[in-house]
Amino acid sequence: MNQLEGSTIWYTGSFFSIILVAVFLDNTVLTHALGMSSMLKVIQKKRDYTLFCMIITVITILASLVVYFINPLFGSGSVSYYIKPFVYVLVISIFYIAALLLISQSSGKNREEFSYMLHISAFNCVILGAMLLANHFTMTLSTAIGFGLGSGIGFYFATILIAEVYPYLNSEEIPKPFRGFPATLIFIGIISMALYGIIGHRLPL
Amino acid sequence: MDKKRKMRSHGIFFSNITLVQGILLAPIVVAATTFYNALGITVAFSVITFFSVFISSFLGKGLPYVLRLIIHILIASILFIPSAMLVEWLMPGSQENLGIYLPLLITNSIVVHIGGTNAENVRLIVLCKRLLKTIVGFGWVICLVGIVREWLSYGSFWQIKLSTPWIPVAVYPFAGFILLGFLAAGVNGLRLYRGHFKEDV
Repeated sequence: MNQLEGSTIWYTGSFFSIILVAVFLDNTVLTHALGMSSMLKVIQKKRDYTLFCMIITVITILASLVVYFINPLFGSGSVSYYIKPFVYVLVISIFYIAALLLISQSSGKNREEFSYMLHISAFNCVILGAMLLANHFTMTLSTAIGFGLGSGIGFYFATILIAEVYPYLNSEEIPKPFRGFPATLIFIGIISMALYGIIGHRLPL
Repeated sequence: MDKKRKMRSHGIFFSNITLVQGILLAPIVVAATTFYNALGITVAFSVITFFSVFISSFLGKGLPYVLRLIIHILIASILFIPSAMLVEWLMPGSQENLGIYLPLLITNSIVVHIGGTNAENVRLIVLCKRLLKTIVGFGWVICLVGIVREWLSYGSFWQIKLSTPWIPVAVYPFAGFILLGFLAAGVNGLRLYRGHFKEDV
């Protein structure tokens, strides 16, 4: 009984710690700058970024799970480095087609919005990036799910942050050359620097 | 600058894919910490993007969007193999230095965007010209960022020591974001001066 309790605590602990790592230490946007062009497009066009991030999170979780199961088949060596991206893209393509088939069967009023979001999120760098980053960790089933979930939450966290300030960064108060995209980049840079400090680094001054 | 010359430089500078359109930020922000890395990314990007779009332009006209997109990206992922080998051959150690940013070029926004659209509706020569402009536009930005960050953080150029490091933290992604932000503002300033400026980019 004690052994069962111990392993449950260990699995739960590693699940939540990998989520924290993926949200703060390995944030897809603030640390890796992944998926920014489509994220900015969604924000600029004032589309539903929650739906966009939800789709990315679901695909990332599923993709991380697949990585957990197929990675041992590759073995180590340079050949796997060249083949993995092709296999990962194939996996994403299967999810993409499956999701589109699922949407085509539904009759909800948000069907078109779902399809649009799926088109821009399926081959987003966040998903392939999360699959490639997962190679850097020794994964168990719980950490694989946790890493996928954390990557999605981290992306959502960064999207909310940018979406909330974007109207100010694009306002008349900002000098014209900096207005919009340049100010957004500088803002993300400052947040990224803050995060770098929060997680315990000191600038070598 | 006459109209023809202005049009020629349009995709390279005033509507630069990175500084104006906000595409392909990740390799510049994170991986372009030295000129060596920046050149490695440029070579891989050129091979993957140019040849995947070129090959995909021969795909059948009636192919649905989803199928076209998937085939295009699968072609790009096959092209990743020779391009990664080429980069490693030209610049040994690049695969390790560039990490996930080399395979991530497979799903770069240019490949994904053009992959889904009917590239065959555009004349091949026009498509090639556009692609070359895109590659040059991306190449000069990433190389400039690489040179500046290498000089700031290591005090060197192409691994040749020039001075003591000025700002060692320039290798971190936050420095990449800030530097790119100022570069984008610089290009916007020039566009504003020349009357190209559109507020919402």
